Amino acid sequence: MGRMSLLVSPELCIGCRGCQTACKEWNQLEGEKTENRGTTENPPDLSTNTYNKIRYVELPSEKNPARLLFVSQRCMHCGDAGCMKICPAPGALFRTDEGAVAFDKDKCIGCRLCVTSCPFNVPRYDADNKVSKCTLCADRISQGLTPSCAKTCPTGALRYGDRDELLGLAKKAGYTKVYGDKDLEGLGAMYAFTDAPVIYGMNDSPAIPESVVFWNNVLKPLSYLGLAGVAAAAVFHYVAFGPKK
Amino acid sequence: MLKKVCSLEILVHWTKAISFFILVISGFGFMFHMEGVGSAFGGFNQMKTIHNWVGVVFAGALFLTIFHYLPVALKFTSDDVTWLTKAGGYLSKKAQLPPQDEINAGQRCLSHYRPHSHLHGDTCQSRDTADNDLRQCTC
Repeated sequence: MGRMSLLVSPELCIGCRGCQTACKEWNQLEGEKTENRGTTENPPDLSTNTYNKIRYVELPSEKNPARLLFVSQRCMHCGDAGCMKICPAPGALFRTDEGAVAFDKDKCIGCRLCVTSCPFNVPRYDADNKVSKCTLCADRISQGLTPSCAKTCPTGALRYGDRDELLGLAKKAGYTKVYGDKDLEGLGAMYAFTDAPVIYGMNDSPAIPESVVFWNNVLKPLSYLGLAGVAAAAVFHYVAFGPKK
Repeated sequence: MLKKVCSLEILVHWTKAISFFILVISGFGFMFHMEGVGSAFGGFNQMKTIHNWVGVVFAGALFLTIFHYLPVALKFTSDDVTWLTKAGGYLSKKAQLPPQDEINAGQRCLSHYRPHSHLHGDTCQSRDTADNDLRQCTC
């Protein structure tokens, strides 16, 4: 099976937030108590009970005094996922056959390293100190179904399908550059932006923190080398000089 | 029998030694996803708790060591220079070394290096006592 992903087209989004509700319904996530913060963007941030949300970006200009951008926020299911790189508990974060990054709460040890290594600030911890985030509805897509957010989207702003096909679709619609096409070995949630990504509140070049890359590519191999070196030196000394010399 | 270290030093030494190995084994278990190590500790969840608390014990013992040996480690004489230029006699069996006090120059250097780097050697360990100028422990 090819890698599956989402294609987000903010220009098509009408901000109905049906995706937020559908996500809560399928994943059985509780609603959140809200308050009037002067905007219909709600809730204000991702949480253990909010795997996806629509970010509202107000961009009034002379030409268009009421320009409002709706940007779907969620786990991006990176091809090169920082969270999976640093997670010390085997199987707590894993990749599904479809290419999504899913979690297993039973295996999570609550160290929160995934929070520090995520380029998009996505993972949240619940009251039991276990990881939670969008899994691209891993249980649905494994059965060939569409993630509930994309299934419910009435305008096609959220589309789910084969990653290459979606890229082709975006190119055909006139988007020469798709956000997440190549970043971090390709994101599992791509964005068809008509403006610079920063305007939509996205990082121009998302990257895993340097400390995580350094730890994974340098310190980790070094520690194996160190352990092997100590063992080799001990064996050498034993063979060359004997045990008590 | 000459007494070189006191019982507190021995206790701290072994606390550090045992906790160090627990930390190394569980740390490697986490780093390289060793399922066997995880189950030996009773699952990764429990291994995390053990790793965290043993870390506190290790840090405490390390703190005690550093302060206990700081006055000794700060003494640096010409004998230490000689010791260092001869690489502590580790490269030859015939090297003549000047007498050292509680700790030798190598251990002295290590004890200064350690607090900054978080790497662990052990100044308490003084095996080549034959030529050493032994004195009573003062703790």
